[in-house]
Amino acid sequence: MKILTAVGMIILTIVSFIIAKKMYTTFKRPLFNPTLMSTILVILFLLLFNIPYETYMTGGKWIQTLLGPSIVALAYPLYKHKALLSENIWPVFLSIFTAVVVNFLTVCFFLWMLGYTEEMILTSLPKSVTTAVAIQISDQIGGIPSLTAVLVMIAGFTGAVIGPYLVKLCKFDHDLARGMAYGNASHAIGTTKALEHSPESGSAGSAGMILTAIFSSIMIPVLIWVFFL
Amino acid sequence: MRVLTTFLQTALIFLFYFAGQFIQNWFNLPIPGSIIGLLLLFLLLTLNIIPENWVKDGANLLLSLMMFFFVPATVGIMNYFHIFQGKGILLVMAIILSTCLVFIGSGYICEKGTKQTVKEKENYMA
Repeated sequence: MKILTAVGMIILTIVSFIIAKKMYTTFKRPLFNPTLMSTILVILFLLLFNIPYETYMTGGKWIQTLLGPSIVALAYPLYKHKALLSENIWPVFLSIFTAVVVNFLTVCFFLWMLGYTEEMILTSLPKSVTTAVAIQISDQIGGIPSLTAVLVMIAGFTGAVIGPYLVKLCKFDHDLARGMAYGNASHAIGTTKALEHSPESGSAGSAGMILTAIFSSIMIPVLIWVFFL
Repeated sequence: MRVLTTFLQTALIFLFYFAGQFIQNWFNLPIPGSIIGLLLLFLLLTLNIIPENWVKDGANLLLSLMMFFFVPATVGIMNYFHIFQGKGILLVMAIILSTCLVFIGSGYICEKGTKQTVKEKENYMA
């Protein structure tokens, strides 16, 4: 029975993704991001049949194990277009630095304005970092890791859905700038969108994601020490 | 044949993932195994120890499915619907706005810097 449930959940995920992908190719709007839409479809199904997330994950975890290797696979576009990065070391470095600082200041300011507790601010700080690293940072600085993971998703979808409009609005026409914006603000979910633009911006996106993760894990604790003491 | 090589290449990438996990556990690093595996594969590709066409097809396969692999993790949001209710919606708005500002800020700095580099090159050429 358990195996049957797991297989059922895997099939549910595959079918919802195929539908989502179809919707995306039909409507061609960033809002129809395949990950976002199939997430919504799966959640609707689970709610409809009163299936808890934990039951869903008996099958879902098998799909999730493939996420780690696919992040490793980002090494390939990164390698393929490494000249783009090595020729622009300073813009890349400054862009990452800006991302980490803007993220820190805006999260602190907005949440403080809204009257949230220090614990909530700490939970929200790693939101632009790729999930696995964000959870570790959150844990280290005294946030709530599982809630951080949810905010990371929101930040990811923000980039994937609103990002294309921001790219147009701000006239980012260089592959590097596009990729950096997606990768620095919206980690791997943003990078999948950057890959759609061009392989070059996908490469910049993965570099942005990796460097933002590394810089954040060092800079966020330091910034907290400076601002909260 | 193509299917077999793609499969083997994917398996090779898995090996890098496991190596990354192992290194993370062994040295108790704060960086996750997948990122370590990524850096390791990038390093070996750059040093030409692993030729590009040993991973090309496998990597492209995994990358094309990455959006799909994210779904189970994102479905986890369903356990946190209460944070979207009442005042929680303001938190979500703040996160979205902050992310947009990070997006604009880092993209702008990069675009400026990159354009300058291109211009410098042009001046140099002239």
